Amino acid sequence: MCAICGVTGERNEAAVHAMAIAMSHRGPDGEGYYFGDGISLGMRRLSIIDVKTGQQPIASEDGTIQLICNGEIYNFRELRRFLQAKGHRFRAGSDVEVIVHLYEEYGEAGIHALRGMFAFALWDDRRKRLILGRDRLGIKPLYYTTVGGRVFFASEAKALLVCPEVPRCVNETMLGTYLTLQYVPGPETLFRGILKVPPGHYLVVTGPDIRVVRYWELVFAEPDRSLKEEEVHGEFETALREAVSLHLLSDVPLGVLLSGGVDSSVVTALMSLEVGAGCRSFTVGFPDLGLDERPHARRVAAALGTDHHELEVQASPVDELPKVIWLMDEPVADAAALPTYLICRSAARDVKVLLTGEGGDELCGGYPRYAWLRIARTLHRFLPALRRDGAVSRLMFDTDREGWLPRRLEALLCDISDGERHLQLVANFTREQQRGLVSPQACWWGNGDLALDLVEGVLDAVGRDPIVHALMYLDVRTWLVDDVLLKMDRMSMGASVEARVPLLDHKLMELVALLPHTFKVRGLQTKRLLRQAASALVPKKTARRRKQAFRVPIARWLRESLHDFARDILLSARARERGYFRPAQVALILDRHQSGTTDYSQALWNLLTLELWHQMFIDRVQQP
Amino acid sequence: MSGERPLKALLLAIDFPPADGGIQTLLSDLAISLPDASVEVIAPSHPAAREWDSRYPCRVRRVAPMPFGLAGYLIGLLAAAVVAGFQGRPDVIICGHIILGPVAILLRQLFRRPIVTMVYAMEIRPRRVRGLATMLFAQSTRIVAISSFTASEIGKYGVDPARVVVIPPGLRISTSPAADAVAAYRRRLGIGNARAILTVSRLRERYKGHDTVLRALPIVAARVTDVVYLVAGHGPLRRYLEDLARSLNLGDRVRFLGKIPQEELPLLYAAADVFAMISRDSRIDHGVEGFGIVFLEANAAGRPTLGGRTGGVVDAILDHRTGLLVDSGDVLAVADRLVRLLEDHTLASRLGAQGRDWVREEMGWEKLGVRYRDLLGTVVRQAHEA
Repeated sequence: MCAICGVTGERNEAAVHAMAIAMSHRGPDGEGYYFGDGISLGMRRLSIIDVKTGQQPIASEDGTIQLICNGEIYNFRELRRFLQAKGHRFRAGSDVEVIVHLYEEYGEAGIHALRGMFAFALWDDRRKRLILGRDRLGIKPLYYTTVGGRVFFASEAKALLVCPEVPRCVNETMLGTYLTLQYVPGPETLFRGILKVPPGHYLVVTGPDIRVVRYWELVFAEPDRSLKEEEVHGEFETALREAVSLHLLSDVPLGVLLSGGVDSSVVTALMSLEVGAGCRSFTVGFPDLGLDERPHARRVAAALGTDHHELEVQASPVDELPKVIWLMDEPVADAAALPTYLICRSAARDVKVLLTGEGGDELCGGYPRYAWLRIARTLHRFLPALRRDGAVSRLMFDTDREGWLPRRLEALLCDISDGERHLQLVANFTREQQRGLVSPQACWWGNGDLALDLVEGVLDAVGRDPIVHALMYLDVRTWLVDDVLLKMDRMSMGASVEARVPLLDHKLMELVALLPHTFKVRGLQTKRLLRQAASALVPKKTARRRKQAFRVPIARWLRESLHDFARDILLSARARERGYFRPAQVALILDRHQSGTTDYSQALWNLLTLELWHQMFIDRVQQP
Repeated sequence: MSGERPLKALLLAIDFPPADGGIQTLLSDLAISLPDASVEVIAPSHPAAREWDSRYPCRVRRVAPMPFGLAGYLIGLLAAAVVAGFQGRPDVIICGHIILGPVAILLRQLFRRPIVTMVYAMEIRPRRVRGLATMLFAQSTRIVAISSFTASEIGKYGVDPARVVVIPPGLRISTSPAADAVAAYRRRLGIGNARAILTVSRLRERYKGHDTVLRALPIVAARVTDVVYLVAGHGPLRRYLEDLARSLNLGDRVRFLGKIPQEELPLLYAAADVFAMISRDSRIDHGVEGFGIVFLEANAAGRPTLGGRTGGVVDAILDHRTGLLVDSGDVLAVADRLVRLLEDHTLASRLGAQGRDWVREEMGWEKLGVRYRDLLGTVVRQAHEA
C-alpha cells in the first residue's frame, strides 16, 4: 500500500522526487525510485505485506521490467505458486511481485489474473512502453496527464500539480456536473488536462501515444428461470465469507470500521469468525440526537465480542475541513469524509489496516432510490393521468419545491426520463436551481446538461430493464468510484492506514450481478440478500436496520459553528471575482438555511467544498 | 420370460428428442441399443416430433400438451402408460427422470413390474424433491447412475450401494469426416487457420462455464494470438455471454454459432482444435454436470477435451489420457491448460487420439447397450424369482 508516480521521456528526478514527497502521507515507511531510458518512477511505501523485503520498484529477473504498485493482490499466493511452477524466480515475499511475472508470461493480459485492489505502473524497457493499470472497481486511484508528449502519472492529482510542467487550471466544463453530482465522474477531473485511469482499464503508453484498454466491466443478467431465494443463500454466504477472509491477508495488525449498519456489521461478524473474538472495531459518532450511530455499533460489538473503540466528534470541523479538502484531492462534497478521516486517524494508533463495509449498497442494491424508481415506473404504467409535469407536487408545494419531499414526489410522479428521475433524487442542485445560481457571465454553464447526458448514456448502454440493475450499474460506474471509494482511499491514506473493502471483491460482485434483481430490491425493501445473510450473523435488529447514510450534522454546523466561516468563504472577494455564481443567490441560500425555512446543507456543502478546493489547489491561498 | 421372447421395456421420459440435450440423447440412444429387447417410449409432444419419430426405430407415444404444466403431463403420461402397459405387457419400467416417479410407482403397483430409475445428478439435489426421490428409490429395483459422482449423490439418500449401478452414457460412433470436408467447414465458419476452442451446449444453464472460458480468453490470446472461441448452442444465456465477451474486449474472437444441426456436429468438433466446457458445481440452482456426453463426442472426432474437475466430468474425461481436468473456479489455470492444448500439438494429438480410441473401444453403445440389457435382464429375472 503506498503511492506511485512517474513520468515518461527523459530522466526527471526532480519531478519524481517532488511527486513522491507530495504523497508521503500515503507511504511513511519508505520510498523507492527507478530512472531508466525513457522512464522515471517513484513510490512511497506503507508496509503491510512482506514488511522487511517488500521494497519497490520490483524488477524482473533480468531487470528489463520495473514495477511500482499501490494496493494489495489478495490471490498472490496461488499466483506465486502457479508462476513458480512455470520457472519464475521470486526475489521477495511481496504480493505485487506477481504482476511482474504475470506480465512476463502473458503480457498486459496478466492483469486478468489479479484479484484485489491495485493501481500500478509497469515499465517494459525492451519495448519502451509503460502500462498503467487500475483495479476493476477503482478502489485505488491513478491520475495522469500529458504534457509535451510526456505522460505524468501519480496516485493523487495533487502530486501531478507539483510538477512545474503541469498547469493548474479548472476544467470548467465539468463544473455543472460537479454541482449536480457533488463529485466529478471519471475519467475527467476538475483539473483541466488531468484524467483518471478508469476502473477496469489499463493504459499502454508508448512514446506520446496512449492506448486505453478496458479489461473488465460488471455485467448484470436476469436468470431466465425462477430461482428460489433460499437456493442462492448458501453460495452467496460462501462467497461473502471467502471475500472477507481474503481481505485479512496482512503482516500487520488489522481492525474494522463498524458503523452499526448492515454492511459493516456483516464484515465485522465474518472477520470475527476468521480471527476469533477480540478483533478491533472502531466507531465514530456525533452527540447529536438521532444522528449518533454509536449505540447501534455498540450492540453489534457486544454481540460479536469485539475489542471496541469509540470516537466522539464534539468539536466544530472548521479546523479539520481544509485538511480534508486537501487530502481529498478532487472536490467531493461528501460530508462523511470528515468523520471517516477522524476515525481513520484515531484507529491508526492501533492498526495499519482497516476493513470497511463500503460497497454493500452497490453489491446488493441498498439505495432506496432503486425501489423508488421501480415504483415510479409501475405508477406511470398504470396511472398515466399522473403524466402531467410536476402537477401533483406543484399543487401540494406551492412555495417550497426544493425540499426533500417535493423533490422525491417530483421524481416519483413527473413524466420524466429515468435519468432525470435519478438526478432528481441524487442531485445537490437541480438544473433549475443551477439556472438561478450560476452567474450569467459563466460561459461554462448552459451548453447542455452533461450530468444528464452521462446518466442517460450509461443507462442506454446497459439497457434499462430491469431498472434496478441499470441503476446499480450506473452507481458502480460513477458514484461508487468517484465519491465513495475516492473518499475512503484519501481519508484512510491521509491517516496512513489502509482501508480494504471486501464487499467489493469482484468475484462476489460478479456472482450477485447474475442473481435476479428481486433478490436485491423488492417493494421498498432493499439489500435483501445481504440482510438475509446478516440475520444469521448479527443481532436481528441490525439486520433489519433501514439504510442510513453516514449522517453528519452539517445542517446544524452550517447554522452554528460553520456559518460564519462558510459565509466568509462563499462571499469572499476571491469567490466573487471568480464569477461562477450570483453572490446574491449564494447569500439567499445561506440566509434561508440559517433561518431554517429550507435545509440547504448539502447544497452549501457543495459550494463550500468547491470554493475551498479552488482556493487551495488553483489559487494556492488556502493551506491544509 | 427373457428366454422365450425379447425383453420388453417401457421407457417414461420427459426429456426426449427432438428436444436438445444430453439426457434426451442418452435416452433415445439407450432405447435403440438394447440387444434382444424392444423398448416403447412415452414422451412429451414436440412440434417436430412427427418427423423425428418417423425415422426413429422404436415406437414413441407422444403425450399431447396438457394444462397445469407438469401435473398435466403426469396425468397424460399415466393414461398413455396404462394403455401401453395393457397393450404391450412390458417386463420392466424404465423411469427416465425422478420427476416421473409417481407414474412409475403407480404402474409398478398396477402391473407388478420392476422399476429401473435413471439418475443424472442435478435433478436429485434440490431439497424439494427429496421426498419424491426417497420414495422412488425405495420402489426401484435398480438405480442407474450415469457417473460415479451421481452414484455418490444417490448415496446421500442412504440407498444400498448394491442397488446402484454406474453405467455412463454411450455414444453412437460415426465415421470421422474427411479432412477436406473439415477444411471446407472451417472456411464456412470463417476461422481460416485460427486456433479454435469449442463449447457445445444449450445456452441455458450457467454452470456450464462459458463465462470461465470467456474470462480466460484474453490470457490465452496473449500466448496464442490467433485463438477464437466457438460457442455452439442457443438459449436465453446468449445475451449475457455476448455482453460478457464485449466487456472483455474480445471482439470477433468469440463466435456465437447458434444451434448447430445434429448432423453437422461431427464436422464442428473436427473443425475445432480443443473442446472445452468448464462446468462448475454451483449451489445456485443445483447446477452440476452429471457426465457430459459432449466430451465423448469431441473425443470421437479426435479432439482433446478440457473440463472442470466437478461432478461427472471426472468420468467423461480421463485426466491426461483423453483430455485435461482443471479447477473450474481458477480462470488462470483454465487459460494455462488451453494454452498448453493449443501450443503443444504433440500433447493435443496424443490426447485426441487416445480419446478417440477410448470412446470407440469403451464408450460405444454396442458395448453399453449390452450392459444395460444385462441389467434389465437381471432385474426382470429377480422380479420373477421373487
